[in-house]
Amino acid sequence: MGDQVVGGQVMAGGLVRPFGPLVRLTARGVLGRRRTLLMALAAAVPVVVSAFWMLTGQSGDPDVFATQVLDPWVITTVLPLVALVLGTSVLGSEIEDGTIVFLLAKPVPRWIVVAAKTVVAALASAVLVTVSTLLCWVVGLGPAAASGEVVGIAAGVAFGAVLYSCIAVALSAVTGRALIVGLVYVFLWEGTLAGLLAGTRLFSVRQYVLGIAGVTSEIDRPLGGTLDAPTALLLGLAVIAISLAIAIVRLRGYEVAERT
Amino acid sequence: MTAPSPAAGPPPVPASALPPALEAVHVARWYGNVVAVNDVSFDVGPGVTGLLGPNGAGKTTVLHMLAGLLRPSSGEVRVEGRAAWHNAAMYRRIGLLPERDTGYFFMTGFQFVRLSAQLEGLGDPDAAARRALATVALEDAADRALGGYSRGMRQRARLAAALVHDPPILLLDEPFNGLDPRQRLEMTDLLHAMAAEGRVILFSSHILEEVERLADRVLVMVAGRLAASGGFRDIRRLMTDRPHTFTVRSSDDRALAAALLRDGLVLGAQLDGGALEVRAADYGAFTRVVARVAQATGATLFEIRPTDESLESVFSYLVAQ
Repeated sequence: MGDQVVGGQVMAGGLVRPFGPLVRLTARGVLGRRRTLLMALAAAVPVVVSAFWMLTGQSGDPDVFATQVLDPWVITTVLPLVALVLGTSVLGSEIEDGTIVFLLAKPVPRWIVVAAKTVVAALASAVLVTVSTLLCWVVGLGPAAASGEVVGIAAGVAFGAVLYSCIAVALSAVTGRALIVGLVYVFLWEGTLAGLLAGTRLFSVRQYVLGIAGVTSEIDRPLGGTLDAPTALLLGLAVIAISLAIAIVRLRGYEVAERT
Repeated sequence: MTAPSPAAGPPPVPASALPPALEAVHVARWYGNVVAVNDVSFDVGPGVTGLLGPNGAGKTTVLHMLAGLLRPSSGEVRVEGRAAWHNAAMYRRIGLLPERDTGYFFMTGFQFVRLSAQLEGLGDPDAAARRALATVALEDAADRALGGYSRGMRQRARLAAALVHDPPILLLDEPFNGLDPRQRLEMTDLLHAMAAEGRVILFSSHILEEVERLADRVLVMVAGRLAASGGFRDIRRLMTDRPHTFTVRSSDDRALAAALLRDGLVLGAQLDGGALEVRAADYGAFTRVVARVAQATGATLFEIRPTDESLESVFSYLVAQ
């Protein structure tokens, strides 16, 4: 699309041109805030636990380490926490402080706003939890860390971060209590119901993480994983599509709340 | 502040062939059981139009509907003939200054305005941002973070962001908030200059004097309804010609009251706790002759104070008309 002149101003062509500025804006807004530092500290906790594991002479078996350290500290706790906090903040904080009006009163398609916000949240979350996973692996297993099992686990965790982030962005477009709703989903649905009702596992990000992790490791079965990698990938992609669609539709119908 | 250079737009179309720039047709907006705006109709053309009303009158709701940020519960809101709701393309034609003092405080003024230019899709966002910052006289502070700005400076930065794409229509929600007297004068001059270029400017205010200084036309809103609309002089006359209540203190309130009633200068008088309260039919006539009447009766005037000059009472009177 070429440039055109509108009202005396040269307009740059390209529908997605605002994507870059929106990504940079979101990155600066999120990464510079205290909550991101807190999430980085949260992601460091499993590394400390791994160091303790190694120093106390626990098992050097990668599968044992994965099920006893990585699962409870990274997959179950830090992964959803980090992704939900960052995911709900990228759009939710703008809605909360009113700056969203600045973005919505521009000729920018809503899907670009959602995409830019989601990309930042997903990348930031994925980097934090993947680095945490890899460091845990190296610190906790020492020489045994050379086994390739961590590749699938790290890929699963990164995929999970993207999924939780997408869900969080969608939730923040729907409700002002997105973080609470997200945490309830994680700890009630994934933590409790999925253990009781087999059918709920189809709609569990944790199951998708374990499904991907199972490609290179044996941790998925002992941890209750029931999906193979292709199914997990497919269902995960569906979650991304549905979450983004919800966020876009909600933002298209978004109305400012102030009234005077 | 200086006016931006005139835009070189498309060939002119006869004004009569164009729909009104801003139009509300029997618009209502409610939140649950609360009616914020009730059956409001108006249209706005080139020049400065003031949306006047006390807090809670529904001014911001009207501006948000015009800006496509709120869907009318009933009726239609149009910008240049097209529905404002779900009309992303109109943001190339309008600039919005929201009332809320918010922004990306970690950005410098220049970065903030340039972001606005980038989101508008301008070909040279840096030049557009510099131009807009110069328009609001903020070049010197362009490289400072918004978080370190005074409220008035932030207001001007947000105005620059709204102006950066040189829009023909401006929606300004309480634009004078946070400005000091000098900045208010500059803002008034700027808006006058932009209106002279043929722009459509609709701004809200709850301060009569601001609207008086700036607006050619006034829409008065009270309790969600359009109480009056027209030229400022007509509205002002409506406000001035209404019955006024004064509290008068003198050395002989009783004699003064009798004289005022006898001369027909007041509609009623009441002695109340050491003061005289009178209801004058004509504000101007009463204030011109009350001193003379007091002198004729031998009473010394200590105080004359209008008692119902709040905007709310003025607006209530207009609604009753």
